Amino acid sequence: MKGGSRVVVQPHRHDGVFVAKGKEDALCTKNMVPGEAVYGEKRVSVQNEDGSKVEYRVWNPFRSKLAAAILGGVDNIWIAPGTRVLYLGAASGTTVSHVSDIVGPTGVVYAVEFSHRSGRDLVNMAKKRTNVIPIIEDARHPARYRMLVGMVDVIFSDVAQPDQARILALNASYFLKNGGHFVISIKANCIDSTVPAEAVFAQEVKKLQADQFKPSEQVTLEPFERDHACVVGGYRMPKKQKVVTES
Amino acid sequence: MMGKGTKSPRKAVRSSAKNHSTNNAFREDDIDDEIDAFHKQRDVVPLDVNGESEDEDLIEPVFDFEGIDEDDSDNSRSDDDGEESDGINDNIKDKGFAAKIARQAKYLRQKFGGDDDEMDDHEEEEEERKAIWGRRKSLYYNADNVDYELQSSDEDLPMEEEAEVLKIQREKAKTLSMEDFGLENNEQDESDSDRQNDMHQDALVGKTAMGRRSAVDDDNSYQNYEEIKKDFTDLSKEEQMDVVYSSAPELVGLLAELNDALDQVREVKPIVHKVGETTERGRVGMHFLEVKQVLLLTYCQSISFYLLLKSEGHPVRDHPVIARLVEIKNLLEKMKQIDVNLHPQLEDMAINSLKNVLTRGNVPLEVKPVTTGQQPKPIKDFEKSKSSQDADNASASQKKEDVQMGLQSLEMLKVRENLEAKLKKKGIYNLTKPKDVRKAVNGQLETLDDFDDEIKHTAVKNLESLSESRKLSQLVGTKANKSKIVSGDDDLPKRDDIGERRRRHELRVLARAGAVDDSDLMEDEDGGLGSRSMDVKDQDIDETGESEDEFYKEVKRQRVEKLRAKSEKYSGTLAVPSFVEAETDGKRQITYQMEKNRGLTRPRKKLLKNPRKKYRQKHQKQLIRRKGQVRDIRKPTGPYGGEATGINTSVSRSIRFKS
Amino acid sequence: MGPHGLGGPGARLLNPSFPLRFCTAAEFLTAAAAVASSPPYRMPENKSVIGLVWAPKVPPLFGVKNSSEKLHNQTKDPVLTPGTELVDGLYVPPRDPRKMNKLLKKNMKDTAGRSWFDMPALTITPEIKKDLEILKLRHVIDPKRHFKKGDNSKALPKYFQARTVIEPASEFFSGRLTKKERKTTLADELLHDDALKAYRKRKIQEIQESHQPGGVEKWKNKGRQTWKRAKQRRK
Repeated sequence: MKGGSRVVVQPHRHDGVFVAKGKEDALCTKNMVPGEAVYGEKRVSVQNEDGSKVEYRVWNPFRSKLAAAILGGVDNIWIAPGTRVLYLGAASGTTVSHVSDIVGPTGVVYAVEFSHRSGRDLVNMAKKRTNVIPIIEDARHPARYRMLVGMVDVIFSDVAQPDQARILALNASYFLKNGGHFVISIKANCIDSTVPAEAVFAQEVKKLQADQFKPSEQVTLEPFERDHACVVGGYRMPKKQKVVTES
Repeated sequence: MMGKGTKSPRKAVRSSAKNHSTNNAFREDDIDDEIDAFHKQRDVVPLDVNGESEDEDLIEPVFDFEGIDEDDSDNSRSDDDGEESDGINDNIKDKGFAAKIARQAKYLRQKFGGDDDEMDDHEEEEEERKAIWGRRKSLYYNADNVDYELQSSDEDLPMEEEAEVLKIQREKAKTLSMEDFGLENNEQDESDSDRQNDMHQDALVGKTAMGRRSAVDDDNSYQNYEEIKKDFTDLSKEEQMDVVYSSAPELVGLLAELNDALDQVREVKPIVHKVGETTERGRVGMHFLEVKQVLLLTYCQSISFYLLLKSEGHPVRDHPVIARLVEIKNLLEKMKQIDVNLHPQLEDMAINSLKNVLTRGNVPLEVKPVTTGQQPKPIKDFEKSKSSQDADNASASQKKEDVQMGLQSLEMLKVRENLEAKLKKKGIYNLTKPKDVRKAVNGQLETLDDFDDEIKHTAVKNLESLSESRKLSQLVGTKANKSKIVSGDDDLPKRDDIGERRRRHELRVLARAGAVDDSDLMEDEDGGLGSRSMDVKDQDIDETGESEDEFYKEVKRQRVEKLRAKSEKYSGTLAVPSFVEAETDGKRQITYQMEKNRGLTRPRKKLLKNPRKKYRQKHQKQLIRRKGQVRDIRKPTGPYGGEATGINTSVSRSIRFKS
Repeated sequence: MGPHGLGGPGARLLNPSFPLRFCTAAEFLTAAAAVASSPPYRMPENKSVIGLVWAPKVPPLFGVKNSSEKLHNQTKDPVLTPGTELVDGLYVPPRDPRKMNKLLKKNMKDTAGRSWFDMPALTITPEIKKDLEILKLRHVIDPKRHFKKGDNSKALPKYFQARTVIEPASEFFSGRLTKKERKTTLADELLHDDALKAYRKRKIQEIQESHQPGGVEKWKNKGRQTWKRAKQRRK
C-alpha cells in the first residue's frame, strides 16, 4: 500500500475502526484532524459525495498494541465512538491518537504518562485533538490526578510495570464505573522473565481476578510483539447487567 | 599353443607341404639341430590345434604315437605329411599301416552296429571313477581316443567281428615296437619296482576290464588282459565284475587309489630329489614333500599288501591293514588341501628338476611329463609345461644317447619359445599368411575380402571339440584329397552362388538371435552335405560344405557356451565361481559382506544414522509444528504498508476465560 | 442516499430513461447546486402524466453531520408547504402519519451508522463495482500471494469509500507511487502492473480455451438461416 494507490475503506467489526482494502489491507481510524498525521503514518483521504473531505489514518500494529490485538482477533475492545477512556502509559501518544479517533468528538481520552519526554509529544498531539486530555503523572498515584479525570467507561493500561495489575486496580477503583471495562496489555518479560509467558499471563489474570476484575478474554499479539498478551474484561460486573452489555 | 591364433593350422599344413622334401632330406641325420627342433615343434602344431580343446593338448604325446585317432585330414593328406606331423621318422610305414588298420576296424564296427551295452558299462565305470578321482579326469583318460578305447575292448560284439578285431589289433600291436611309445620307454627306464607295480596294476585293471591310465598303457594292458582272461576264466566281463564287486567291493576303489598314489609318487619324487640336494631354503616345502612322499609310499605299500592278501585268498575283513588304509587315506585327504595351494610352486620346481634331469641324462627315476599329474593346472603355466613337454617329446623320440642334446640347445629352444610367445602376444609373429600362399597357388586375383567368410570359417575350425572334428574329418579327409585334383574351375573365383551365401548369412543371423534350433539344423545340414559331397565332386561345393559345417559347429559351440554361462549365472552363483577362483589364483575373493565388515549392525536409514542429524531433523519438525501454534514474530520492514495477507474483520481468535 | 430516494419507484417505472446514478462527483455536485435551494420533494409522476420531458431532478445533498436536522425539516416541509417548487403543484403528501413516516424513512440517508461515524453508502458505478469485485477476487491476481479468507458473501459491501492513500512526507521515496503509476481505479492499477502481465495473459488464454465450445464451427447451427438451409436440404 503505497502513496497514490487506490483503496476502499470499509467499516471493521469493531466500532470506530475501519479497514482500508487494496492490494494490502490496513486498519484505519477516521482522522479527527484531517490533513494531519501524528507519527508519520499514511492516510487515506476521501472526498465525500457532498464534497466534505474525510480522512482515515492507517493504524500500525507494530506501534500500537491495541491495533495488534484487533488484528489478533480480540472479540471486543469496548472502545467505541463516544466512550470515555482512561489511557495509562500513553507514551508518545501514537495509540492515544487512534483511540481519540475511535471515540470521536463525543468521547474523551485521559492519557496518563509519567515520562516528561514522551509527555511532550503527547501534549503536542493533544493540542490538535480536543478529546485528549494529557496527564503527566505517575499512574501509581491516581489520587494526584483524580480531579482531572471523571468516571470512565474503559481503562486501557499499557504501563509495562511489574505491578501493573495493582496500578490498574487502583485506577479502576478511582475512575472506572461499575460494569466498565478494562484492556490491559501484559509484557511477560517485564513481570517475570524467568517463567514462560503463558504462566505470567495466567498469573496476571489471577491477580486481576482478585481485584474485582472479571477478565473475559486474552489475545496474544504474536506476529507483532513477542510474549505480549492483551487481556480484556469487565470491572465490578453486575450479573444482570453483564448480560445486557454483552447482548 | 592357444596363442597361435586361428590361422595356425593352415599355415602349418602349408609350410609342411612346402618344406616337405627338404625336411625329409635332413631330418634323417641331424635331428638334434636347433632349427630342426623348431620345425618339429611347428609340425606339432596342427595336431593339437586341429580339433581339440586345451585339456586334450596335455596328452599330446600319446596322440603323436597313436596316430590312429587323429584327424584323418592330416593323415590322409599324404603319408609323408602324416609322418611329418608325427615327428617320428622311424616307423612311418608302420604308422600309416596302423592307421589304416584302425580305420578299417572302425569301419567294420560301424557297419555291424554300435556296442551299446559296452557303452553302458563304460558309463557306469566312469561314474565310479568320478567318485574316486579328481574332477578333471578327462584330462588323463577320456581324451580324443575315448572311442578308440571303447572299441579296443569289445567282447560283446558278435563273435566273428570280435575275432576279426582282435586279429587286427594283435597285428597292430606286433607292428608297434616298444620304442614307439616314448613314454613307455621312459617309464620302463625309470625303475624296476615302479614298472612292476605298473604291470601288476595293469593286470588288475585288465580284470576290471577298463583302461585306467593313458591310452598307451591301456593298449598294453589290453593285450595282457586278453591273455590273462584266456588263462583264468571263461566268464564274461560282467560276470567277472559281479564277482569282484560281491567279494570285495572296496577293491576297485583301492585299485584306483593305488594308481593315483603311484602317479603322485612319481610326481613328487624328482622334486624331492632336486630340492633336497640343491637348496636349503625350501625347508618348509621340503617337509611337506617328504611327508607326502612317505605317506604315498606307505599307502601304496598297504594297498599292495592288501592286494597280496586278497590274491592269496586270506580273509582281509578284520585285518589291521584296513584300518591302516583308512588312516592313511584321511591323512592324504588333509594333504590334498594343502597341496592345492602348494601346487604351482611345486610345478615350477618340477620343471627345474626336469631340466636338471635332462642335462644329467641318467636319473634313476625318470620324470613323467608333468601334465600327467593329478592336479589341475593353471592356464598360465601352460606354455611352460608345453615347452617342457616338447622337450620331453624330443628326448623320448630319440635314443638314450640322443638325450645328449645338450643343455645349450634345450635352453636355446626355451629361449626361442619364450620369444615366440612374446611376439605372438604382440601380434608381430605372423609367420606367413596362408591365405596369400593359397592365392598364389590358385592364381586368382580376387581381393581378400571376397573370401572373407570362407576363410573365417576355416580358421574358426580350430576351436572345435573332438567329436565334431572327428565327424568333420571323415568328410573333409576325402575332400582334401579331392582338392588336390586340379580342375578347370580353379581359375574361377571360389565363391558360392549368391543364393547359397545369402542363406548362410540368414542362418547365421538367426542362430545369433537364437531363433533357430541349431542342433536340428546341424543334423539336417550334415545329412544333406554328406550326400552332396558324395556325388558332387566340385571344389567349391566342398568348400561350402566345409564352411557350413564350420559354421554350424561354431554356432553350436557358442550356444553351448551361452547356455553354460546362463546356467552358471542363475544356479548357485556363490559356490561355483569362488571355487574356480580358488583353483586359479589360490585365493578367494572376499565377498561383499566381508568387505563391508558390518557385523551384526542393523541397517539404518541414511538420514537417521547420524544422531546429530537425527536431532536436527527432529528439531526442524518441531519448529514447523510450533509455527502452527505460535506465530513467529514479524519485524517491521520499512514503512508500514498494511497487512500483506489481508485482514479478516470477522475473525475472533481470543482465548475466553470461563467465569 | 441517491436520487431514487426522492424520485421513488414510481418515477422509475414511468420513466425508464431516468438516470438513477451519477457517475462522477462533479456531475453530482452541479446537479446538487441546481436544486440546492429548492425543497426536496418533487413529484416526477406529474410530469410523466403531462407528457413533458422530465429532467433529472436531483435531491439535495445532505451533509453527514446535519442530516438529522435536515430530515427533521423534511418531515415538516412537504406537509406544511405544498410547494410552489413542486412541478405543477400536483403532489399532495399523504396525510397519514404512518405513511408519512414510511416515506421519510425511505428518504433517509443510508449510512453505516453512528458507530462508524455515519459512513455513507456510496453510489455504485460500474467502475466502483469493478473495483469491489477485484477486491473480492484479489487472491487470483497474483499466484505468489495468499490472503486470509474473508467473508464468503458475494454481495458487494454497501458502505465504503474508495479513495487514494496519502503518504507522509517521510515516505516520499519509499512508500509512494509516481504520478505515472497512479491510476483512478484499482482495476487500472492492476492492468498497468507489468509484473503480473504474463501471468494474467496466460490465465486469460487458458480460460478462453476452456470456454471454447467443441466441435467444428461450420457444422453448427447458428440461428434461423442455418435451420432454413437444413430444412431445404432435407426436402
